[in-house]
Amino acid sequence: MQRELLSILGSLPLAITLFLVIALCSTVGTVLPQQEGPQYYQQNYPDQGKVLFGFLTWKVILALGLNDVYRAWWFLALLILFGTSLATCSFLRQIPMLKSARKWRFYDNPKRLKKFALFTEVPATLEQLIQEFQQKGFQIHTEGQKIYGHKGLLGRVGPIIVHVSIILILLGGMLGALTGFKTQSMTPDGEQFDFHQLTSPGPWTVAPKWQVKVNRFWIDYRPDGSIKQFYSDLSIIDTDGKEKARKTISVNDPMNYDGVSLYQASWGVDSILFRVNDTPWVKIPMRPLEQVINGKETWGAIIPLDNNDQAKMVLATNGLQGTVQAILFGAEQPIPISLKPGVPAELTPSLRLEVKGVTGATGIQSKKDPGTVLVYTGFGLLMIGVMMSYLSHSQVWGFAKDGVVYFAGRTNRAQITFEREFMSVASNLQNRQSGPSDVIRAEPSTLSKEPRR
Amino acid sequence: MNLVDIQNVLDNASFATLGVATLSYWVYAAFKKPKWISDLASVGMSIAALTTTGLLVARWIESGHPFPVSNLYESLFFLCWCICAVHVGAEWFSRERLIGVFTAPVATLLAAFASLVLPANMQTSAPLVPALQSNWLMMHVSVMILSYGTLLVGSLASIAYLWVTRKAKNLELRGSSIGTGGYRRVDKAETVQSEPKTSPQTSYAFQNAEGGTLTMETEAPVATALQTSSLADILDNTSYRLIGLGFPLLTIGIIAGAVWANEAWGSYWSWDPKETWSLITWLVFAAYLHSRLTIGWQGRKPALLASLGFVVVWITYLGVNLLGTGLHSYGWFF
Repeated sequence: MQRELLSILGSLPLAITLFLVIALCSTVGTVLPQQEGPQYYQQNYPDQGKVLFGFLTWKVILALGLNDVYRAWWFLALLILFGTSLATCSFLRQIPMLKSARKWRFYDNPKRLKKFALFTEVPATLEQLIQEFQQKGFQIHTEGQKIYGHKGLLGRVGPIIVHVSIILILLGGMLGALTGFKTQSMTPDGEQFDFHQLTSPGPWTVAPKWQVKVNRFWIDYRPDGSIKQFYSDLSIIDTDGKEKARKTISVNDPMNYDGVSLYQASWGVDSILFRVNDTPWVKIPMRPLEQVINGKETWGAIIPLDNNDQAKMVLATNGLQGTVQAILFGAEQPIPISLKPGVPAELTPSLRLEVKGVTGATGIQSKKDPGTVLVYTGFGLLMIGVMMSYLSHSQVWGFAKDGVVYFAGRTNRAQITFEREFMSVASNLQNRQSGPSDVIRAEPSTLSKEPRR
Repeated sequence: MNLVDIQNVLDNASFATLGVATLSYWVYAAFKKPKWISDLASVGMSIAALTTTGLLVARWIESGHPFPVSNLYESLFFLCWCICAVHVGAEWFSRERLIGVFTAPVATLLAAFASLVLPANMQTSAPLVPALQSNWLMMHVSVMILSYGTLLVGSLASIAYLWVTRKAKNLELRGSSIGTGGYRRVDKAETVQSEPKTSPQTSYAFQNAEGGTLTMETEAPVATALQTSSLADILDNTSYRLIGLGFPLLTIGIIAGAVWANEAWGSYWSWDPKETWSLITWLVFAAYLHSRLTIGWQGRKPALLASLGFVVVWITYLGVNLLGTGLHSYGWFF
């Protein structure tokens, strides 16, 4: 019973089914929007009226976890089954196959060899046959007048390494989910963030005690105004307030400290320093606007100028380059004006506006994943194993009797290449026999004059 | 003549050559003659491989990028180059011209889409956005597209196989990987064997199948004692070897992407649609490779899986970008 279960678990039909089922389930998450709130699904997938495909209502989606497929219990169960099947297959099939492939077998009975599709007989000596196969890269073992040759045994080892490495990757992923964390923070220039509130920590996650200070955040622009690169100058501050490490990160160049990686992930405009006439400088917080100005993301603020929402001023900017658009509403026509930092501008004769500077906020993604070591080891092994698996394991058998060599062979992947090698061995042996004078167009066809009965 | 003009000439030349090659393959497949037209087809594919190489090199020099795969136009022509190059290799390996009937039109469509359909402003080279300024870009994208090219030609060989065997019954293939394929066929094949054969490609199972005669001149008649591969065997094994080559490339490409993502954004896997579809592609071809090991599954079933793989590669390469979300949504990107 147990053995039967294991043989099903390690069977190829189950493996193929799992491949295709996991592939099919994975497509769901690319079609159905993932990780939205319940209201989103209630609105877009109603259970009355027009039901999508006749069954896809929000109730079905939430019950089956289709709103978060890749974290649904049944998807994880599929992955675990997949890993178990891989391990079982390695022990039940691959390792025994490798063991049997490593055995040297010798045959001296033509009937045994005739079972192979590639079988032939040529008048030649055993030494000549050995030479020919050695030239094709075969390792030859002899036993009396019998030979066994093979090459590409690594092609049988490759798939085992592939299976082991995928198991490592799956385990590493699991370890990361249980003990790691990932969190995003939007921090204005000059401020700090910490790890007290993690969005979705694993059950055994330990959050760092130290904090991160954003010393400076800036953007390099190209002459045409497009963004070249983002930079955040970060310091690690421990519980005593001491700086432990410092680095300027950018996209593709993160900072690593205490097993946590800090990545430049996004950015925004935090606030501007602004004054009207000669008032003190006021910090105006900016927030992302839904409208897009100049075809770019825009941040803005609305300053009411009276109590009934008639007169107001809108301040908007595309980024940290400095220019701020101010638009005054309330007059008959909206009055726009462009403000450069440090250059006061008169909107009306009695209204002088001035911007001192634009402060950015940097979006830092922090991540700790103790599973990465396992995953990377798995990646390395997987690349090696999958390349080894391209090799074809070829085996040849032969023996000599009464001045004739009989030989046969087979391979597990490169059928055509092997066939050509085999025929070239046969024709070379034939040429050696017929002597160098009439070798000009010797073909394997000339070698077995009498058709087999 | 500056670099941009050279690109324009080469881009049109590639399309025209591929068009001629496609027609030549089709004419030869339909009428089985004249011989020169099949040579023309093969030469056309080689020339297209060279013109696309020239196009990419000119683009490389002009843009100064580490590798010319920074927008859709460049990636389309790189894939087109991959298909031509892999096709030339596959034709040399298999000594068969039937594959071209299927690969040439795909390469033609790619060149047509890149040079005729894509708006002019998407054809010019542009500076890289911050997320792409990394040496991983070249490693990840070039290996991915190389794997797409190899897998596409491999699955097209399977489609050619399905075409050739559409009328055949009781197929038994030699190239199956369970090891039994290495053994001698009995019954029918054995009887055919006693007759002298002139060409192994047209020997037994497919004497009547159309398309089965679209072979290159074989070097000479071959010994009767050796059971050699038929046209179907050759297509089947060519497909297997190509997919066997494309699969490691796909694996390395996905891993390069995962490591890049982890170094740049802190997550080696985030179920972004493009990532997910590359995994789906990987799973489908893994299923293909395993189906070849399965007893009772040789022949058309693996070929059908490979054809499914053909569709899935296109979804991964282009289809996902139509969704316009996720990490790979830089407008219309690779």
